[in-house]
Amino acid sequence: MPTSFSAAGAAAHHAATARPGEANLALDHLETAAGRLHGFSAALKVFAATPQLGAELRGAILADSAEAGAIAEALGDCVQAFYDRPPSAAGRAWGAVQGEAAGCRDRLQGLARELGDLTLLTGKNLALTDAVGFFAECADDYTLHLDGALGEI
Amino acid sequence: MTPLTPEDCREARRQLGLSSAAMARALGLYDGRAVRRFEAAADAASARAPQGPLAVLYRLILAGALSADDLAAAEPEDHKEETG
Repeated sequence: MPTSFSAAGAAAHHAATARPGEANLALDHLETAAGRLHGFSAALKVFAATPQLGAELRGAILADSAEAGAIAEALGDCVQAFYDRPPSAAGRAWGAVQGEAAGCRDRLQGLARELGDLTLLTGKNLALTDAVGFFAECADDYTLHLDGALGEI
Repeated sequence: MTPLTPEDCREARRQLGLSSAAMARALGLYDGRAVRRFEAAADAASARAPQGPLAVLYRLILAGALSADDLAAAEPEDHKEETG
């Protein structure tokens, strides 16, 4: 192994040599993350029905709900694509799972930041500020979980 | 954030006047079993406090910020058709 082995090269090497048992564990984590994100998306949609929310905040929360749902779909699809691959394409499919999961982690990070920023739109309504802040914390937690799952890949 | 107690969860559903199945639908849960687990006595083997986003929604309901009508408005159309 060359001494100047780059991180990307190491990831590609690992992707090509990942063993099924190792893959299954990481895929389980990614599937769990997708399930939680679906629930998160549904909860944000319910939250958007809170009458005290202004139109701007409601629109932003609904957009975030859709984004959380889209991230969940993307994660679920890449896991499914891995299971559906021909055996000869394991290395390539594994690399795709890595790339997709990292992309989802980045999108989720953006979502957490955006939810944090939305607390500013709640004005002096402390109950709403708390609620939006808690949702931002949830998104932050999911980002960490996804990061953990990526660490196992 | 202190965890919600089974009594909190029962009180939230009482405020909305919903069955456990209807509460589950309103919160986007698969079925009423999760709601019943939230409401089970804390020492029951199946007891589980709502976490994360669900805990936020329960707290909003307890604070009177979300009514049964609000929750019904957020329910997905296909879910409404399934459940009549």
